Amino acid sequence: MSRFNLIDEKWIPVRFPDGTRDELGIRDTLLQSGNIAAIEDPSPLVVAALHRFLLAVLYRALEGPTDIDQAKALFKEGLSEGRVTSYLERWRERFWLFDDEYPFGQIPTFEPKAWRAWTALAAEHNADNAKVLFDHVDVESPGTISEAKATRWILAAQTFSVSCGKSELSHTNTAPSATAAMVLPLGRNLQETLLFSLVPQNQEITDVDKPLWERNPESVKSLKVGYGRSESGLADRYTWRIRSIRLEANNPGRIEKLAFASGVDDSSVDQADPMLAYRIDDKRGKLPIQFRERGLWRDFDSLLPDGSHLAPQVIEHATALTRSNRDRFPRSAIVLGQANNKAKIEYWRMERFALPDAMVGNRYIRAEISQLLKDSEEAQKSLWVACRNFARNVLSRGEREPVRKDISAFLEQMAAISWYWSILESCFHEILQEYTLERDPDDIRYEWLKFVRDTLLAAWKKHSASISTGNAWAIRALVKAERPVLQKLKELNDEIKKLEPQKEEV
Amino acid sequence: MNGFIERLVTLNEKDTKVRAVLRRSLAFEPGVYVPAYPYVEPFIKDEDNSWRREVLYLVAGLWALHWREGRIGAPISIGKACATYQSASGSASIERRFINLLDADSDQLLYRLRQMVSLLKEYNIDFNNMLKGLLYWNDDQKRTQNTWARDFYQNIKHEDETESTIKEEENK
Repeated sequence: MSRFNLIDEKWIPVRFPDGTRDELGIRDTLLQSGNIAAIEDPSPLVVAALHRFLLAVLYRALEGPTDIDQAKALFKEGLSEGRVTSYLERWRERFWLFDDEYPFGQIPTFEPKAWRAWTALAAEHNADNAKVLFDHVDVESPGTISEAKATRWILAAQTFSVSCGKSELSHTNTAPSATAAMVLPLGRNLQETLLFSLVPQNQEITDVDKPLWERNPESVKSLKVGYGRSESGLADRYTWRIRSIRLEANNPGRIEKLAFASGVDDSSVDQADPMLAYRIDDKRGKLPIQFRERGLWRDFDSLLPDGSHLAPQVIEHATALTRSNRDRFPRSAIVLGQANNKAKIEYWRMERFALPDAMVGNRYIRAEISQLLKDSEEAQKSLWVACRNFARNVLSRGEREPVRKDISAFLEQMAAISWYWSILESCFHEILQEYTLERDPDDIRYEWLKFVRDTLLAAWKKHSASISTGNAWAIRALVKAERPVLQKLKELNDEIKKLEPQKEEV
Repeated sequence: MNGFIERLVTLNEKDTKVRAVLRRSLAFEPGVYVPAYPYVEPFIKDEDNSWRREVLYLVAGLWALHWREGRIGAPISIGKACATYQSASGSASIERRFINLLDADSDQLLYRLRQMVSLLKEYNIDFNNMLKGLLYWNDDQKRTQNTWARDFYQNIKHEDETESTIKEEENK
C-alpha cells in the first residue's frame, strides 16, 4: 500500500517572513514560495539538497528555462501554478515514500543482507565516517525517525555521500559535487532564490533531462555490477542516485532501519555544476572550490563573475536577471557544503556573504577583490615566515637546525596566524559593503591595506607581548624573527601612502 | 638621570682619583664602597629606591673601568657594540655571553656586565643609554632586555633564513 506522498505531506521545513515555521509538501512549498522567506533546517546539507531537489522539480514542471529570455520572463511573472500542479499530478505516483513499485528515491527490490540503522543516512549521526563529538545516538539501537526527516536525509545522502570503499552491492562512489562548496544567491523570498538558481539549459538537454522519479529504479542485478551512466541534465544531476536506499516499512509513520549500499556511478566528465565556483589547477585543470581548513572568505573572489566564467553560474544568472531591476539583485549568498579528507567528513558548514552592490553594474569587481585578498595573503606570508623563524630559533637555540616536523608542530600551536585571519575576516565583510557603484576602487584598497597593516602589526605585537617577558632565548628568537614583518609593514605603509586620497585644492 | 655621566666626566677632568675609586668600587656590592659616595650620592634622590642606587653605582664603576683617553666617535649602545664586536671578530661566543647578560637577574648583573664591558674596551659605549636601560631591568615586561636584544640583532649580519623557507612548506 502506498503511503506518505511528498507532494502533499509536510516534510520541507520553511520559514515565513514573520518568523513562523512550518513544514510543507512539494506543491505548497512551490506554490507559496513567493510568501516563504527561506528553507531552513539545522543541517546545511539538507538545506542544499532540498534546494537542488526543488530546482529539479521546476526544471521539469516548467520545461525550462531554455534561454535567458525565458528565464527573465519567468522571473518577471513568477511560477506558473498550473504548470507546477499539472506536473506534480502527472507524476504523483512516483512521489510516494512507500510504494511497492516506486518508493521515492529508493530501490524497491533491494533486499539487503543486513538492515542498517537510519543513521547511515545522516552525516550528523553516521558512525562510519563522520562520528560527531557529543552525538550520542547509538547506531546499534538508534530509535526511530519520522518519515519527513527520513525523506530529507535521503536527499541529503544522495547529494553529499562521499566515497567509502566497497559496499554490499559494488564500490560506493562520491556523489557529483558532494565535496564542493555549493552557492545559492538569496532572493527576497524562496521563489526568487529558486529562480536565481534556475540556470537555463538548452532545449535539447531539457528534452532528455530526467530526474530520479521519472526513471525506473535500477535493478539490483545491474547495481551489483557497478552500474554507471552519464548525466542527462541538471534535473538528473540534482537528484542523482549515488546510493541504493530502501526504507524498512514495518513501523507505520516511523523509520528505524534501511538498506543502504552503492548506487549509480556518474561517468560524466567535466560536467559543470551551476552552483559551484571553479579554479584552474595547473596540473588537474578545472576544479571546484571546496571548503578547506582556511575560511571560505579567503576564496571569496571565486564567487564573483568575470570573463573567465569560473564563478558559479547561479551568481552570473542572478546578476543577469536583475540587471534591469536592481532592487531585486540578491543582497547575499549562502555557501553550503562539507569538507572531507579521504572519505572522512571533517565538518559541514553554511556561510553567508553579502554580495557587493557594485556587481549590479557592468563592472567586474572580481579582479579588484582578488587584489585585496592577495594583499592579505602576502602580508600573512610575512607573518608566517616570522612565526616560522621564531619557532625555529626557539627550538634551535642557535645550535643546530631542528627537525622540520617539530617546527611545523610548534608553528601550529602559535595563535598569531589564526588571529590575523579571524580579525581580517570581519574587516573583509565590512569592506564588501564599500563596493557600491560610486566608490573608487583605489579608495577601497586604501582602506583595506590599512586594515591589513594594522592587523599584521597587532598580530605580531600580540605574539611579541606573550614572548617578550620570557627568557633571553625566547627574546632572541623573537627579535631575530621579526624582520619579514617589519619589512612588510614598511611596504604596506609605502603602498598606503601612494593610495592616500589627495586633498582637493581650493 | 640626565647629566650623571657628564658629571663623572667633569669630575674626572679635575681629579684622576675619581676613576680609580669608582673602578675599585666594582669589587664590592654596588653602593657599599664608601669612598665612591661623594661622586654618586648627589644623584640619588629617592632614597627608598634601592635598585636605582645600585644601578648608579654600578654604571659609575663600569664607566670608570671602560674609560680611555681620547676616545673618538659617537657613543653606541651596548647591544650595537656587542653586534659590532661579533661581526668584527667572527666569534660566535659573544652572542652567548650577550644572551646570558640578558638573562641576568639583579645579582648576576654586576658580574656579567663587568665582563662584557671589559670585552668591549675598543668601543665607545653609551653609558647614559645603559643607565636608562638598567633602571628598568626588573620591569615585568622586560622592555630593556627586548630593546637590547633588538639592538643587537638589528645590527648583526643576518643569516638568510627567510625566503628559502617560504617555498619549503605550503602556507596555511
